[in-house]
Amino acid sequence: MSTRERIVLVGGGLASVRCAQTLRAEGCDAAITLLCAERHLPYDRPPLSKALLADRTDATLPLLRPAAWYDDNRIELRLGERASALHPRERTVRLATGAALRYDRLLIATGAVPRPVPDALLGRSGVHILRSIDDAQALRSALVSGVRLVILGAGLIGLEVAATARALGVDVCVLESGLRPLASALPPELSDWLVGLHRRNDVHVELGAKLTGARGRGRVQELRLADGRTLLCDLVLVATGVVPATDWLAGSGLSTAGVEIDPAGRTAAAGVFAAGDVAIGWDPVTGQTHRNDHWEAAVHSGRAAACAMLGQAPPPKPVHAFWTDQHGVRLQVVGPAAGADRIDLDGTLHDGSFVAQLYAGDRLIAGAIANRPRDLPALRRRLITTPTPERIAA
Amino acid sequence: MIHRIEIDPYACCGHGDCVDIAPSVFALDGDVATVIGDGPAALLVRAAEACPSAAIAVTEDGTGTRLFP
Repeated sequence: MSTRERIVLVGGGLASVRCAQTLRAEGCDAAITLLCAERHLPYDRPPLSKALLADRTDATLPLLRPAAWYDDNRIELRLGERASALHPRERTVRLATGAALRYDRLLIATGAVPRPVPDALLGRSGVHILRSIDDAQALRSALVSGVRLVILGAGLIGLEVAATARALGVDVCVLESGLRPLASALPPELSDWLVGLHRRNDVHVELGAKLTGARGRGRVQELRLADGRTLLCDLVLVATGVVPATDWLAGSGLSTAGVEIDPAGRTAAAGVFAAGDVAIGWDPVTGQTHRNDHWEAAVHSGRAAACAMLGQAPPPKPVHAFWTDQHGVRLQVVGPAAGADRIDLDGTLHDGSFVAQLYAGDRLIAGAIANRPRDLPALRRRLITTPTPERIAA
Repeated sequence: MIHRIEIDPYACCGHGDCVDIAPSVFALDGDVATVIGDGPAALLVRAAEACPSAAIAVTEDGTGTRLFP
């Protein structure tokens, strides 16, 4: 690439930074501009629901790269710059300030935003969301021992915050509208185990619970459920999932329900790529298209988009994986665990120390490991060498 | 070196937890961690255990004893 070429990376998260990193590592000489809507240097999000939330001291921002890295790699980092429109035909991106930026290649990596707060909670203080460092700091200062916290949603964020808050002495209740938590990520036995883990740690978990209203003058003080019960609270965390941050793509011709990409990260628009939480890719293992909003997926898709920008073959796709830390248990999951219909368990669920091999029929498709990290490499190797339908077809 | 420390480049995602725990042993070189030194066995095992991808293998060089995984 000639030095006159300009690559614009829209979004200041993990996928964007890993894309920039790969571009430079592969010798790309283009001018690279990274637009980061937040005013903070790009940082890592997993600690926001765990270590950073638990830290009573003035914790430092978990930076993805030190400040000097951007200069050292000739990456023009623009903090507080939000994209407001994309014009693929003119190859320009419009900024919220009104300025327009031309690009030769562009990465859409604007991530996701929390689902809207339910109407009943709108405009009340004491209601939190958790996506950014600012959100985390606001929540952290409110999590004081004895405070009553209700968490809406038993996803990874909701459950991790529940565990962190409980350890801080907070009185925690999790309300999940579904009948089991993490239904799209875990088989029923492991969802049930997680619920049990929280209950044994004095977190109140209500499944199939629907919020219908709230009371409190200015501040949230009481929640009303569909079954007529009421629940006193001081704080509410709305953790009901995220939606792709695509508002700015309206009128661009790209779908705002999430940006569809091919395995190399290309979108339907010439020179436009997407990665991370905003992207919808086809998963050869499940045969479905969906967003994959785990940390590892952002790393891979950022790297893959960089390769595609440079006309290189995509790097090998790692086995789908995520991890979570709750109540002193680290759960590491590899493979599409939710599709399992049979569990072969080594250890016992109740102890919080086990290796679960997950089968669909007689085929090993995934594994879940609790507090036994030593068993992960061997399990991952088995998953890589177990034939899957598309590997057989290939 | 009294330990052989290996990082599976296909498993390592560059979380950096090993670097936080043992900065004299591990460094992030681009997307993956690299080994830049050695350290006490307990420290190495703690770093290997903390890796969300379990990408680190630690072996005692003289005896060949596997410390992790």
